[in-house]
Amino acid sequence: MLFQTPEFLVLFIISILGIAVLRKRGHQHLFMALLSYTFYAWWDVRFLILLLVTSLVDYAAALGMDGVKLSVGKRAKLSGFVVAMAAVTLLLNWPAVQHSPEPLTLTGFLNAHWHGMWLAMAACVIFAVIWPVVYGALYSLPEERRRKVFLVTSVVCNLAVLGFFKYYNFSIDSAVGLGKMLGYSWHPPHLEVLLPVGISFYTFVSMSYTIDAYRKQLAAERSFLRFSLFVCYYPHLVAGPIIRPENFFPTLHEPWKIRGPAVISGFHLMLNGFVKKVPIADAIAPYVDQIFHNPMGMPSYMIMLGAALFAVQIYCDFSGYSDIARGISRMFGVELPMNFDYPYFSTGIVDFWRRWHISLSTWLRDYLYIPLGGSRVSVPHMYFNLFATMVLGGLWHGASWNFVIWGAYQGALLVINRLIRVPIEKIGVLKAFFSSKVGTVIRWAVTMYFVLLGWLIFRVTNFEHLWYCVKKFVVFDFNLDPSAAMGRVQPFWVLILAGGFMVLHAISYFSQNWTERLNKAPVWALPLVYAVLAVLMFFFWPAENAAFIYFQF
Amino acid sequence: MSVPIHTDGSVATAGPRSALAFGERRGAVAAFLFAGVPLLVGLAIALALHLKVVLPELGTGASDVTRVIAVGELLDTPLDPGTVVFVGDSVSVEGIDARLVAEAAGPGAKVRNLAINGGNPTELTVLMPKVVAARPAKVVFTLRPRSLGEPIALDNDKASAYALGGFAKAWPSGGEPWVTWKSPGMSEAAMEHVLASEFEAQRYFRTAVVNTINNTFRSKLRKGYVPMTPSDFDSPAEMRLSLEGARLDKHISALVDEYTAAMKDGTSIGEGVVERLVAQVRAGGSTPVIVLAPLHPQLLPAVVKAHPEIAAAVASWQASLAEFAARMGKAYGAVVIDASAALDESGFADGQHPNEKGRAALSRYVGSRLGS
Repeated sequence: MLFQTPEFLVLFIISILGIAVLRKRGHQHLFMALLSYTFYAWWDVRFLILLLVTSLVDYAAALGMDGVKLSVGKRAKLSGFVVAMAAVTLLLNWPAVQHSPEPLTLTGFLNAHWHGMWLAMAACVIFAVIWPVVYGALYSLPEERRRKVFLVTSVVCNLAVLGFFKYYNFSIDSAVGLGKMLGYSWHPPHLEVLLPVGISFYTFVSMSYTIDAYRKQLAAERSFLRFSLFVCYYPHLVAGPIIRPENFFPTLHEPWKIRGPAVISGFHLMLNGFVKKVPIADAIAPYVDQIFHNPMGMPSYMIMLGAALFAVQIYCDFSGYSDIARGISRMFGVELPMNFDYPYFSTGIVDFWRRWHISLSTWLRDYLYIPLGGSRVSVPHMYFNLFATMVLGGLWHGASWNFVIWGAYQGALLVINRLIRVPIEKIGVLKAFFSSKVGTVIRWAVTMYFVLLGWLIFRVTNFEHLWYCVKKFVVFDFNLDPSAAMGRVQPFWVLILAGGFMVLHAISYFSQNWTERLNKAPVWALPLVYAVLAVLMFFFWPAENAAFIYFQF
Repeated sequence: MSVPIHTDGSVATAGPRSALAFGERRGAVAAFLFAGVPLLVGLAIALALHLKVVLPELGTGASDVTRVIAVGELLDTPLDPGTVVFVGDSVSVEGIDARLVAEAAGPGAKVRNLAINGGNPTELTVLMPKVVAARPAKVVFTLRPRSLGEPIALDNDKASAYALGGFAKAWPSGGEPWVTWKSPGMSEAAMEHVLASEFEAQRYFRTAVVNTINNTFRSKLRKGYVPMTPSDFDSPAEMRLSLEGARLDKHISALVDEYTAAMKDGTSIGEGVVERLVAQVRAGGSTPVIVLAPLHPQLLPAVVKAHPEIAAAVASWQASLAEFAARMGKAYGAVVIDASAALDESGFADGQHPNEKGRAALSRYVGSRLGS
């Protein structure tokens, strides 16, 4: 379900009404968990069971680490729940339920569509039978060992699910390619694996919980309902921000309340997100696609224009999603963490990563970089940690070599940044220059050059095209023939849009955030602003709703 | 009174007359109404403007798309008895001047050019029942080897324009569905758009204002084109250029790629689609006319040069087209006009479209043979 669709509007209104009407927090949690699962199931109901199973593993693992033994009865109940949900999600003929123009018979309704359903159902039943036994066996281990084994179980399960659904075919293809290079030919099975939407996000959310439980930074949640809600809470479920247990669980101690100021400020945040997503990101997307569909033969200025447009598109798309998610959640009374802080005003690559996809970069820092030793190790080791963290961060984005290269590129930039920072800070003149206004502008320009080059690597998946684009980006060809743009980009509209956004964005950065500006604005002026924005949104709303870029991750 | 801007902490505060203070004073319900009502009013104003002003005055923004709607409107009423209509793609848009065809065809001839840019056999399938229902005397198809290849998918803009033009309402009922999403060049999405209600299709074109602004700017930048008048059924030609040298080579090279991709699986799919159209015209009481479109003399040699491995197949394309046309002549009484060699290089604007000189020559060539 996309945020910009009528179905979502209905879900949102039901959420608000439900929270307002249900006064008990337990009822609210159950209600919101059901809505969140509905939100997720809208894409593909079959993957709901995957979400539930991984949630159950992490829930049980954290309790095991915390020394809370689930009774046999409770384990049986949870197993029964898994089997029942598997039957509902796997055995019903959902495609027919959703699309069939013919009236459905009971037989038709129950006649499952997906040919692999019995296999998946059998796997769920086996899981439901085995996990209580395994849990009991692991729980009987001595405490320290038990904690480690539960952590390993949780991490392995999460990474196995992520690895299979996201990286199986990529790994197989890469291994076959490597084999070919070495003169060895083999043909492993290539499975038609669908990527469950949001899997990278909810897996990381869930893993942060078990790792924190292992580190004794939190008390394991006793209620499966509350833990499930933490994982599946729909504002963050499919594209973040990647929330942390300490952000979310405290909000469950009291019933959620819909409050006037939160409604207003949440609405402004949502509006901000929709303005970024709909008229800007979605409108720019087709032109970026046109440029990068086949960039061969294009002059440098078109490649640079494409990179700049993609920079605006991906920022507006992703930060727009984050704003909408945060705005919705704020209305419910749950504050989600900020995910972007004006990244295109960064004056260094380290600064950029403090401002871009903050919830992911802090996750990688806390759960990967620091456990690897962080900066408390030798300098070469620290550089390796930094590089490895960014490569894995790149791979997190998708099963494709260009994401690996993008991660390596970012890692290399961070290492170089650290290497040159030390001598610059030691030489007073240089330090003073780069701290001055001119120096800051130069640092910004250099940073943006490398950020845009990075977006090329991120966006262009065909290596022949990528190599061409990188060459044209790095070595400017001074071919300014305007006819090169014809048929590829309808320049005025896109440039006005992207340029207008950048100007407004700069104003927002240098003076005051637009949403805060709206929050402070006199009450009489706002209805007019909303109405004008509604008119603009209507006319700029692309004919086809486009999914958010980060859904694919 | 002042209230914190962030609900998670008082980073900054807003004054007593601010929206946040309003929310604090009046509560959540009032806050929702305060935000939601102006939003709904704005959307309602925008929708009204769109339906009552934008679409009637500006159209959908893109002339190709607006032309589909204009053709639909023309066909809402029966054509004058004896009218000859041209259907097809940009080759007919650029290559046929209905007045010159009528002049060459003889006194009293009535000719209309209903060709649409991009109007490949898939689009003709969507369009044809309504054309036939308007009772033309003859329906002229301009075919080139590409017409028998894999049809290009119908895009959603065009599909929605066909919905606005009311073309699906004229599709034959009973028996096998005339078009399904599995038909060549169709998709589930395209089918959904073609079958959309008028209101849904109108709503689809909500970016019409932006498209219009954009196209206006773009047409000022594009040299060698004049904006098409969508309701021009005489000579809707847009091109005023004549490519030469490297630019012509580049265009021919792009066409080579297109032809090679389209024809890689042979001609059976395209032949099936076109034959169905010819049969539909005949069944509707009109005479089908097939014009083998003029080919740029460099085009087929360029395909062979670029892809020597398919030289034999390329040689057979034009032969296939001629054989197919002859077969249609026998089976459905179609009139076949071979204009494939009617123009020399000076008659082309680019690698496939006639220029002004070519248009005049081709129109007269076809017009003089229409009655035969």
